[in-house]
Amino acid sequence: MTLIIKPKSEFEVCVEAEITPEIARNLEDAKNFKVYLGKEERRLEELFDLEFVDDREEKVILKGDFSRVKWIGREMKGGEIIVEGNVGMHLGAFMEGGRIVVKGNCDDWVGGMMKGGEIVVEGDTGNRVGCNYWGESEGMKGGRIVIKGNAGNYIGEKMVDGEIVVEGNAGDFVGSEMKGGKIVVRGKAGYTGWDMKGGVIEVGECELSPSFVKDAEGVWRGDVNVKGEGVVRILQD
Amino acid sequence: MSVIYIKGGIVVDPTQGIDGEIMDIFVKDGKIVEESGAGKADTVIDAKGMTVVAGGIDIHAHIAGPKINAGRAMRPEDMKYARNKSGPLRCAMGRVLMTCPAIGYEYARMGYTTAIEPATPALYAIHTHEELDSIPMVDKAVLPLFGNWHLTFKFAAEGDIEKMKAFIAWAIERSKGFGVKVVNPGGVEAWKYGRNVHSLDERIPGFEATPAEVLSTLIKASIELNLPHKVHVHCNNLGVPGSAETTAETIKLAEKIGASKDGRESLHITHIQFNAYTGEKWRDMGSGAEELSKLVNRTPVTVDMGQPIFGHTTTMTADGPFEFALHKLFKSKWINKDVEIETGGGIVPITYRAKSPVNAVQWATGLEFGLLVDADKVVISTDYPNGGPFVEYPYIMTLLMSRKFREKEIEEKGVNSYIEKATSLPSLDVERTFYEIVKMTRSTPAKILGLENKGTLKVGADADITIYPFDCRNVSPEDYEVLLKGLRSVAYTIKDGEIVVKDGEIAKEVWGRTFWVNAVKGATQEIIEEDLNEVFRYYTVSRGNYGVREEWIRRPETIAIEE
Ligand SMILES: [Zn+2]
Repeated sequence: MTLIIKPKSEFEVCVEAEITPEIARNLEDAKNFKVYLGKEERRLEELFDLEFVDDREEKVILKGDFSRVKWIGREMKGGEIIVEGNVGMHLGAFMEGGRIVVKGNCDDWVGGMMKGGEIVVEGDTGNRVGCNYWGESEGMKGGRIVIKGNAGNYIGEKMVDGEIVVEGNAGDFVGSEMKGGKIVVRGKAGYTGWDMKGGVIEVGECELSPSFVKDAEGVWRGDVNVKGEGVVRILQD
Repeated sequence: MSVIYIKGGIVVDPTQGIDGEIMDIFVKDGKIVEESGAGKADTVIDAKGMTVVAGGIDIHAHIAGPKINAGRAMRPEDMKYARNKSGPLRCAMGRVLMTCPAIGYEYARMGYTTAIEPATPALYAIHTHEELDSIPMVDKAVLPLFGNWHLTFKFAAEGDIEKMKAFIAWAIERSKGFGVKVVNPGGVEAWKYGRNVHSLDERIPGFEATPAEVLSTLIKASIELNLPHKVHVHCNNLGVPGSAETTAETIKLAEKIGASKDGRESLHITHIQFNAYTGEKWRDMGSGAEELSKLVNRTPVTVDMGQPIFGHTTTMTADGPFEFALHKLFKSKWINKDVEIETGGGIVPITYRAKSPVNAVQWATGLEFGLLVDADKVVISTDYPNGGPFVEYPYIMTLLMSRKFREKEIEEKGVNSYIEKATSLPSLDVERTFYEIVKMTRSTPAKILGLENKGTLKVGADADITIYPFDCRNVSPEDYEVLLKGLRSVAYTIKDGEIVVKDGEIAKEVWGRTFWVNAVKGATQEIIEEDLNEVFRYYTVSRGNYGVREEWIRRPETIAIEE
């Protein structure tokens, strides 16, 4: 089934709503799904209008302003979420499968520690896309994040596997302490490759860490400071 | 305050020799009272089929102060687990390291009503009290660290018991502390030169004293001062093969000195598991628990287990050189701290793995102590957070009560079979009775701490009560699942005469007292004036600004020792 969710009002404080396509399976469960308005526990239908379309999908459509709604798609394993506007922090954190499409912009922490599935953002995102949460030693471990606009600082920190594609520009610290996987920034990026241990970065133009060495094929390898075997290809070199 | 009748419960109270009798308990104005003095009940709890015991007491858990706070900052990945995030209670976070509200709530939900923070530099006691004041639900106290303080070394070297008495009394008054904690005496000082001390008779760098002299003078002074809780020691050589020998020598020091004036023990060896390994290398490491338990049982010494729990945790101790060794061993993050002329400390995250032979031996060794030491002398602890979260006490209680559960855990967790060779645990058929478990979590720690109104259901005692949702006379070691479930989720916790937990959930947030000991009348303070003024030339704070004033503490309660 498809579940269409619309906020009943503007939210004065942030809402934490770990909405996944699984909740579209049953109307009663969806109505009673636990969410938090600040520190108060609420049922989903208290804060949002819910509409069900009886089809063969497992799908959630978010309509309206979700820019203060956090943790959408957390740990989601399958199905699809379509966000028609903007969305708040931690979209698709720990995601394992399925697909999230955002027609607007995202806040920070898109796909934090994601393991699988796909996130497509048609607008821009904030900082820390596909990163590790504070204190964790590994960031994104699989799946794919595509950002059609621009991304903020810290893209793919401590990334282990998977792929992040930014069609526009990115900020500072792309692929810091990256261990594997691939990051593509088609436009410009700031500081790139700091303490990179492995994986591949392709970037239009960037401020590469000085501790990289150019090989015979014109590919930069490093970060030598950490005996890294990362590869950076600067497309406009 | 209200009057509560607890009707028809099955009461277990070792302090009165009551083992599973159906009785009524009456509570009024925060105390346990006679029926005749109770008056009309505001609340009647029908405890039929339930077990009524005193509130639990944690004798050793690092719940407040600079160490756990630095640990929280160092491990944001441990802090992101939400235990409570909505409702009238405060946000409670943390997997093993927890926030202050989480610590209070989890103790209460487990039926515990008192907890002792066992290691704070007196210099930082102000911070520790601020944090203790942020922990709801439980009564608490803090033990300042003496074992590496320059003044301790000086008075130990001079063998001056009178000065040591004056110094102890001064320091616990200034820090609003409860007793004397010693961590690796001399070793933390040696660590400031990149070294450690390896035996009780080695000279401490820069001083004329040895760890044995430090311990002996502190024990003698504590006995003479009549402190309610005597010396609480984390022995030298902690956490290495061969440490069992050092522990045995430490116990013998106390044996030589003898018991306290009131007949109670004169030394508490904390988290003894971590200090009880035989062998010379990790490869031939084994458990010294059998021998040490025999020694503890016949000497004026008590212990707590320091039971490791398989899984993630964070170690934190004033034992700086030990933490450095852990950091080298596991290549994990590390914090080191030097506390002026008082002490030091370190923090390192670790994981106890059932399949690791070393961790398996540690796990088995802790349990051996829990099974082999007299229930009047051993207290359940994990040395939170060093061995793991205190919320696992019900799990430890069940392991001690059921051999079948131990066998199941060994099988299911795949505990390394090296324990068959290196420990006696697999062959031990000891099963603790519920009565003994109540001792090990209530009356024994209360006795060791000298808290007469705790750990008992006697008339006049503090109305700190746990009601378990099962009949302790009917659960057999075979039903370990029932036992574990019942111990994990109490029916009621009553704190100072108020129901604070009902059916495993917090019913009311309350604020406990902070006990501190005033023993200044027990010693001549003037004799250390010059010594104090001399060391304060080297402190970052002046003597006038050193310490914690009673009015800064939320609910202080003085235990005054009259000479
Ligand atoms: Zn400890």
